[in-house]
Amino acid sequence: MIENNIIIFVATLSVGAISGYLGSLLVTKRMALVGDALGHVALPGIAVAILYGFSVIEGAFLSLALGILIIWILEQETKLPSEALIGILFTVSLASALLVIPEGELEEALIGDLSSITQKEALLVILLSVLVFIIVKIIFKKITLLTLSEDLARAEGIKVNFYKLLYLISIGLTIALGIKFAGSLLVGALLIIPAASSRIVSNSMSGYVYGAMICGVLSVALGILFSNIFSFPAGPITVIISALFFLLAMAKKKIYG
Amino acid sequence: MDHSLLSVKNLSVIIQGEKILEDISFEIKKGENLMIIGPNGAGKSVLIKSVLGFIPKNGEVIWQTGVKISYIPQGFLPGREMPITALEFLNLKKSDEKTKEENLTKVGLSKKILTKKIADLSGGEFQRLMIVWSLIGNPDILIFDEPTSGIDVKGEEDVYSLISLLNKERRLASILVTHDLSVVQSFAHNVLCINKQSVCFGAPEIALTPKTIHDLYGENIALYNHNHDRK
Repeated sequence: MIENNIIIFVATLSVGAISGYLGSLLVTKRMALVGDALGHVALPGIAVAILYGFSVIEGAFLSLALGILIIWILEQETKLPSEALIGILFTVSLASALLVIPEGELEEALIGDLSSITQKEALLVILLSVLVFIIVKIIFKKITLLTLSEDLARAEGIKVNFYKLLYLISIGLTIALGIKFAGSLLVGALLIIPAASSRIVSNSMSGYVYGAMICGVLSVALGILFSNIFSFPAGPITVIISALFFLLAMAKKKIYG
Repeated sequence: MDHSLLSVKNLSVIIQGEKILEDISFEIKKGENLMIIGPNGAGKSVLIKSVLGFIPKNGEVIWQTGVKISYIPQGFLPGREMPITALEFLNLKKSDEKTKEENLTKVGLSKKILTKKIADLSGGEFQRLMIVWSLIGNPDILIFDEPTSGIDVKGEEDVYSLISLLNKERRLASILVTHDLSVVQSFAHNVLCINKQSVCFGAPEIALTPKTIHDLYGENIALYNHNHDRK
């Protein structure tokens, strides 16, 4: 049992780490709300998984992959900015899930449930987190340049659309991995808050990225600790803790500049 | 005689049914500095992007085989949202330390700025950093879309003098989009004036007549030779 808990603990920490890692590229330009909204896009998949009895993580990823593909294609076909498209997609996802998911399971889908994670799922989460980390590490420089300027990236011969898709899929995978822990409403916070906190106090890209990862891991670890002590649900308390890190970062910036 | 690095003939661009550029022709050779001028909305940036193959076009665009191009888009000013240092930025492009340092010295930047965040650099420092960036990989041609937007007159002069020096020393060609007629007269070998159509092309002292300026901007803009030392 203890061994089981350790695996689940490690799995959630690795989700915290890759969320911070990917989030550091998301908290730029107009992308910040993408992570948040994509959590909701996972809901129809979660609904299908609950109804037909397969893993919520797989269901979430399938629906995210589909959602991301739709966004990616529509972005190239229409002149609408991607936030508008994501806005449409995520409200429709939320609405359809609210209609379909049975009331007893709705809370778990929306805010997550640590105790529902099985050992097999935890191992899958660890494995896929490592995979996402490696993929993003390989393309990190290209995505960074892309985030700075698409034209500049294109001039360097970077296939902008391809790398955008690859990056979005990595985000989708990260969200799917975090969905059982934080639920679809809160999983986006794991991407955004640690990165935003780290950005405030960072003077270099590497400091920023590692800071976001460390903040993500600490938030999750403390979140699980407090959820055990005070029997809070783990997802919400983790979000509150990461928000406290954000306040700390702001205070540090204010005092030390 | 040098062959053209780039030769453009009868280039037209239509975006969503609207003619943005019509019948543009020009060429550029090694070591030449070509400046593109025209009023706002004349299609200068579109011309650059179509020549680079980023947007569809009609007409002939012939690059010399194997030519290495460095392009800095318009308005590229990294926001404060990404805390990236100058060194980390340069490292996004593959290069060895030695060339990087040589180029920094060349553009007159001290190594100290490498640890600064690019958002904290002055306009002039940032433009020089962009020149270092564009020199990585030893290009044959630099294409800058408004290289001096957001910097003061002195900084602007420096950037143009620097590019002019590179034209001479490294036989580097450059295509610069600019608003400033005075720098055209001081630094350009050739000037291309466009306002959706080609208004003039050639050496500035011949091509830039009061008539072409009038045709270009539609009003009487005084054309005079700046003495840059006076500024």
